Amino acid sequence: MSTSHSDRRIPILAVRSRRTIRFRLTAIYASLFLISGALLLTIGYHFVTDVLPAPDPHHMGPADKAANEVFAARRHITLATLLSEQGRWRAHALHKLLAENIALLAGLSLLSVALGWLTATRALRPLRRITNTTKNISARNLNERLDLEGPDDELKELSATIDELLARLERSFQSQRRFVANASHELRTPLALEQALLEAALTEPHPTATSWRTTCERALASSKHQTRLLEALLALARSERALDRNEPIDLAVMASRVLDAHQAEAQRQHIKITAQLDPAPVTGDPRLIERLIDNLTDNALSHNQHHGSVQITTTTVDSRAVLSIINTGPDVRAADISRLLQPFQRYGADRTNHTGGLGLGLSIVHAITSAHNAQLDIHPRQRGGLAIEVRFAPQVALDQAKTGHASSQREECPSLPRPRSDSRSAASTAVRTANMAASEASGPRAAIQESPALR
Amino acid sequence: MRVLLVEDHRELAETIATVLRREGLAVDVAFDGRQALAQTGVYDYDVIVLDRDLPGVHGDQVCRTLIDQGSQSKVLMLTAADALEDRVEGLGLGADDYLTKPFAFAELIARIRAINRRSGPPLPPVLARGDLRLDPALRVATRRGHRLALSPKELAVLEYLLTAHGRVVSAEELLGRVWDQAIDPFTTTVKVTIRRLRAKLGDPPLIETVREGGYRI
Repeated sequence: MSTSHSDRRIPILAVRSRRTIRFRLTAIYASLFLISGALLLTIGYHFVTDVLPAPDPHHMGPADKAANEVFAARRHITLATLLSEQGRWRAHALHKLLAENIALLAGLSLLSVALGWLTATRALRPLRRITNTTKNISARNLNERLDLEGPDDELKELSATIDELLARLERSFQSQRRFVANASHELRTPLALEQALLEAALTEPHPTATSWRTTCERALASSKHQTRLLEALLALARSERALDRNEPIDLAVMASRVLDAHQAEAQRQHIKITAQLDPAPVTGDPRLIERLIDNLTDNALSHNQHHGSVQITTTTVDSRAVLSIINTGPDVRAADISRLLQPFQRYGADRTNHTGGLGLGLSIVHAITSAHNAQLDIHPRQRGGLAIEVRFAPQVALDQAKTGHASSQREECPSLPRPRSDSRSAASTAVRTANMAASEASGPRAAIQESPALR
Repeated sequence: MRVLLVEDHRELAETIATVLRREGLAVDVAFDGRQALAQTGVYDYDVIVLDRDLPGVHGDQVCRTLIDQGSQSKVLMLTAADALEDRVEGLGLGADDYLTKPFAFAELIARIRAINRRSGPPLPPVLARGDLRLDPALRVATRRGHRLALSPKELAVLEYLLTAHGRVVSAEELLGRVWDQAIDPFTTTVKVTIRRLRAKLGDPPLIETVREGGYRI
């Protein structure tokens, strides 16, 4: 008995909870109608009661009394009879008015419930369409849109907002898919090469020690390439998550260390590195910051020209540490900059250009700057090459004593064109000496001399 | 069998080509889509091994263009993308087969041979004429049960003549099918190879010379 009872109740509850907005809209509509109708009719009823006062000879004005007496005399009845007739007629009229009002209110209320239900259904129909379409959209058909037609109202706004969300999701899914496709291409090609090389060596009809040696060397080179690629991918993954470590670092120290590591490479390519390393304290993950500077320097060197130059500056402007790297090199179109920040995109042709670069350098830089809330600006230079600037978030809590002299110098004249000064020159001691002379001539370089970069 | 290998990774392309040539296939190499389409305009390839991720003209576009041009070449797509959608999409573009990197050469060669078999009239897996038997998959030819010591080119010529089903095959045709573009078209290589092949096949002679430079088995 109890089970059948509960069985009967569930569908009612389900219906109610499923159509709750429609139900509520109807209820609100009908009750508002009922209240305002009742109010209106009550006011009307009271108005009629006021206009038709109960006949009472004691409270009657002399003029009314005289008129009633004349009227009663003309009809040959007493005043009392007339008044009692009037009273009966008034009571009847008021009673009828009340009864009809109530009936009318009841009828109209029912009508308002029906109309409210219909209106709510109609108003909520687009919402139902939105729900159904959204329910059917998954990762596979993210290109579908609601495209709600009709008046420019809130529901259309909702549908437009959902469409925008879908567009963003679609873009992000696409870039994810592209990344996976590119990563699998980049990872599988060297694997395929290695396998092909080894198989070719094993099936060689007349193998010689030299041919085996060549194969081993080539397989080893490919294996090293894979190691670099995996490390870069791991670095990208690491730099995309929140920072593990947050330590105070001086960009100048870091940059000087990185430049030391790149000296040989620069020398080989006859590229002159000039550095002005003023203290630039930041807080962040030292490994990531080092990777950031390393990637940018590597980039500046590998996409350069013979006898080109790389200019590296670290400084603090308005308590923000700034790293800037400017290099000569081939022309880069401004339109290509955002593409270069995508993984596996390389300078020049598309990603299948095998020039030895992994195509991950700038993606990693981008991820690291994002993780440190730093701002990355990349501009192509007019005569070729890139000008890259990384502005770190303001270092509020940092002790002024440490950076005092350097930053005050900048604050006086923030747009001062900084005189080029050596710190590390790629080419030779001669260049270094020449630059030192230039730096002495160009003004106070106490900050640089004190900077650990020169130690 | 004449094969065009389209692969943008030069080292990989050269390695694959070396191994395929060792198997007796005539292999030309193209390093991008544009070059591939230029090559297919000049030579008639039996099989095109096409990398999908090509610079310049994308591999998909190469495949589409080949189909539009009514090319008879069979296309084997070679790619790193191995998701189900990628494979379905690749085959949907008109590719005849799909192989993902990294691959084993044995499989690549078997697939090249398999899709090539589909191009002409149905061929038995082992070709035979009289007491001569040739297994293209194992690269073994025997006569009266004795294995013949044939070079890859000799084997390829013999295979081509056997698949011609008694049709006369001209020296030019042999040159176009069995040798790659590196060969000088005015060479006597065909004649020399046929002479050596005849010597190895022994008696009674199988390869017949038809007037005006044609051969027949």
